[in-house]
Amino acid sequence: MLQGFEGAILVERVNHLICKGYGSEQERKDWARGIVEYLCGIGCISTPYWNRFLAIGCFEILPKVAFCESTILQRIIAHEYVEAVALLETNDIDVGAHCRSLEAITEIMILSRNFRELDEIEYQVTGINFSRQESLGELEANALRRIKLLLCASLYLRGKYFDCASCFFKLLTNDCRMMDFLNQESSKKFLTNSELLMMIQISTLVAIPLDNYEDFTNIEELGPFQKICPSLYYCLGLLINTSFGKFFQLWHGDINEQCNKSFFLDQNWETAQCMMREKIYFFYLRVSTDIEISYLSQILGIEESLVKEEIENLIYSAHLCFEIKGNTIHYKRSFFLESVVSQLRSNEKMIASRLESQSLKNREMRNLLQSMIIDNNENSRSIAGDALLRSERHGLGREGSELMDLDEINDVSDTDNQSVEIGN
Amino acid sequence: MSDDEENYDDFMMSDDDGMIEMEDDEDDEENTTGSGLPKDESGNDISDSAEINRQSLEDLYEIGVYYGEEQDWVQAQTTLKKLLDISRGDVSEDAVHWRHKSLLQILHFWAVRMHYNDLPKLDDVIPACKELIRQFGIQHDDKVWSEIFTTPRGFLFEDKFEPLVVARIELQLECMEPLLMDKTIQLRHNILSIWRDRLLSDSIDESRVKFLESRCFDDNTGQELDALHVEMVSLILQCYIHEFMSSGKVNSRAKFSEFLAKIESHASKSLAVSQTLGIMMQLPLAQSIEQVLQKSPNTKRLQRLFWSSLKQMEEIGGPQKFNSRLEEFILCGFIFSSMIMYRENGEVNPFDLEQVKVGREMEMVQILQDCYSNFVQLNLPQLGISISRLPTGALCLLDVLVNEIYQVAQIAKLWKSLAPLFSCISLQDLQKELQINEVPVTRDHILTILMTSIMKDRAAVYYKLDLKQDLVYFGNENKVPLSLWAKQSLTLDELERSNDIGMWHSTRKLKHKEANAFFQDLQRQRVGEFEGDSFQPRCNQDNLIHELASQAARVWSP
Repeated sequence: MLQGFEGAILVERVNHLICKGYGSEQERKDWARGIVEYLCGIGCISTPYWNRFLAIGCFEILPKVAFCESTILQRIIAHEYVEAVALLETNDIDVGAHCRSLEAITEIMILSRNFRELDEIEYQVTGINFSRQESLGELEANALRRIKLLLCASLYLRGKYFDCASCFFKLLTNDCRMMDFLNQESSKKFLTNSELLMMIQISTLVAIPLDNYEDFTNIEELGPFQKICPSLYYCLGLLINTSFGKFFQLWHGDINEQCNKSFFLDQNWETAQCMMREKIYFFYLRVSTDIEISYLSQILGIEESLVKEEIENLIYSAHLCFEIKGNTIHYKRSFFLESVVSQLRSNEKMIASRLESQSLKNREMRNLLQSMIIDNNENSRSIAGDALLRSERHGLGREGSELMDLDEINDVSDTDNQSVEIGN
Repeated sequence: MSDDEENYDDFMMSDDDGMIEMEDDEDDEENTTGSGLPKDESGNDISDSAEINRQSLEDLYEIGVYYGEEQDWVQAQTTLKKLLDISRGDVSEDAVHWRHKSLLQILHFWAVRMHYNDLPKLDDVIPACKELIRQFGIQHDDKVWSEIFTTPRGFLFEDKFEPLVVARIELQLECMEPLLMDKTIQLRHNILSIWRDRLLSDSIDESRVKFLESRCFDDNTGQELDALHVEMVSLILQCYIHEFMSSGKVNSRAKFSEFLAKIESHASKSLAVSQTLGIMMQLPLAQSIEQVLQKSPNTKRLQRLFWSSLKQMEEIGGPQKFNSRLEEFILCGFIFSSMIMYRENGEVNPFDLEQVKVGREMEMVQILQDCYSNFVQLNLPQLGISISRLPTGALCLLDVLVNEIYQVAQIAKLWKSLAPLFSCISLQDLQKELQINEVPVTRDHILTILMTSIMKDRAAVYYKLDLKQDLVYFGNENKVPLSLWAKQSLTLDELERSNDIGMWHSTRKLKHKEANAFFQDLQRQRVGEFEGDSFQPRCNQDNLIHELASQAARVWSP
């Protein structure tokens, strides 16, 4: 499992396996002992995982620490990625080895999950066009291919499944030798081909809509790819025939196992796994008005509590028109504006009642005035004038607050209906 | 090239149809060379003569040939043997030339006798073969070898063979025994052994097939195959076809496909392969078998392959009765694939085609016609009955297609005659409606049909399922929005996620695209360019205004 790896990637992979609790206790102990001996042998004992390795490896006497020959390697193992890149960049680089040094930098960026810098590298790489790629030597051309594949893999690590798949198939169809390249495992291993293909498999399954799976399998150009990645096409076949249960057996079985033990795949597996489930839930919601959670759980082979939790979350976060009542998920047609309607109604009532009371007061006022004119009494006129002034001031104040209420109503409907604004 | 050699070539061509020509030639011979030769005496005269010159050897040869043409095999044999005896030890160019020719002639006569099932003794043939090989070696273009070691007429996978065929093969094999050090004879020995095993015990020794297969294409890269190699290719194909026809499967499928691919690439370059009559028929047949085995969904190709097998079969076989297993297989295959393709290109009724019409009196063709019309009219139970009346052999071999026919018929029935009629129907009733034969239609099967139809955009009518009460509602009024929110109001992350889940894509098919164009199309849909239909009404501006109005009406109406 760890055959053929060396340097920083070996350290990361061992750490990953140990943290995941993969394998038997004895195996983990052997790995830890092996890696400590390896690190002492190359003189790079400064790693954030050092104490963990020591604890699991149960050392009595530490092996002698040799002199370190590569400061760059030392930095990478110590997770001092910025320094490592800086060192790499200050080294004099032969023009003929440009791609290989770029590959080393790309690997560091991926280890440090520094995706912004990767964008930068992608920009540089796309500058090297195909005609120039031809003129590069075999070693350089292959390094360039590896960089492109790594960039593709980084999209998976970022959770951009669609971009990952579309970028990969573009590479595959634009470079006729990519197919052969994927068939043979390179001697210097960082990300293995089988890991990369698994990323592609996951991304493709997640990113392509269910309705278009069949179109995808019919793309003639990708005929040879079917031989390289048969398990993707097997999964697609199951999904096309709506054998979702069988698919999830594989998804939660073999594929889960492979993803768990891989340092790279595991980084975004949880999300992808859940996304695929949601995709199938959504398909069921799409074709049904009523469906039971226990039924879904049974035919998909997923635990009932998980189904419930995930569907609840899906309905909530995607604002779906469904409601869960006990075991049943039920379509509930709710209109786009329905949530504001009740608010509008109560506002309307409030306005009506305020208007009512206001007009009542006005009427009182008119009556009062009329009676005053009729009385035509000097003395009582001055008293009445005071009363009028007072009540008028009071009325103005109330009117102000009512205006504010109307503003509030507008606010509510605006925020709830952003699209109305955009639509206009 | 002398006249004689030309004559010799003519004889070499002789097989079934060459017989007539031979008789014509006889007359010619008599007029030109044969007329001046007295039959018995001249032969004796020459044998007595001490001086052996070119003339006398040539005369002896001519006389031998003449006897052969008269089918007087004993005289022909003695004359040619005399020539050999006289010239033994003579190394002059002439003597060697005539010896060579007469050896070939001895073998040729033997082959001709065998051809007419005379089955002569081997006494003189084996020494002749040995000497021929010893002195002259085996040239690949030596037609005499393919003539005496010819394979039986017909194909390995047929049901009936000519009489005495086994005895002839035994004789040929016996004749080969002493010659086995030669490589091409080894190949021929394998070919005939395969035939013998097939005829005697109906089994085929796989190691022999493997041996031939390894020799098939090895020694020539891209150039024309010689006759022997073409024969090997053809025989191997026949072995595979035979295996399938008798057991319904091919054990080493990967090797079968590999071999087919090789022939296909060869046939595209080599006339010898592509124009050999046997291969012209076997290749499409083998390809269709491969596709049936692979359960490949490309029915269009299958239909084309069966069609060309049918045409080739007619060319080879003359009037058809459609009563051998092979003919049944091809005919059923063609009709079945035409039925599956009916909804896509049904304008050609297969029973109007000449090749099928010739058999319209046959019972099987009539049953097939019933199947076809029941399929077209979507009478599912009757379709099941008429299919079950077909010969079981062909049905077993084609069960993949039969199942597909059932499925296509069910789908068509569902969308053409049920969905437009019912606004709501229970799954149980659907199960009953779509029943074809005694095999019950499961609820899962119905659900699979419904769901795959919507995924493949074949659902003619929109539907929703009530999986709690097991009901299906048909009708476009069921097309309702699934989300409260408009796509435009989502944040970038939410958009990415909802795109992956499949909330917004259109149901438009992206057929016959290249990989790049396929992903570009999907990308456009993801960023919000609406193209084609969707499974839910879209929130565009018109919809919004419409909804505003309807909400307003609801609120303000008492």
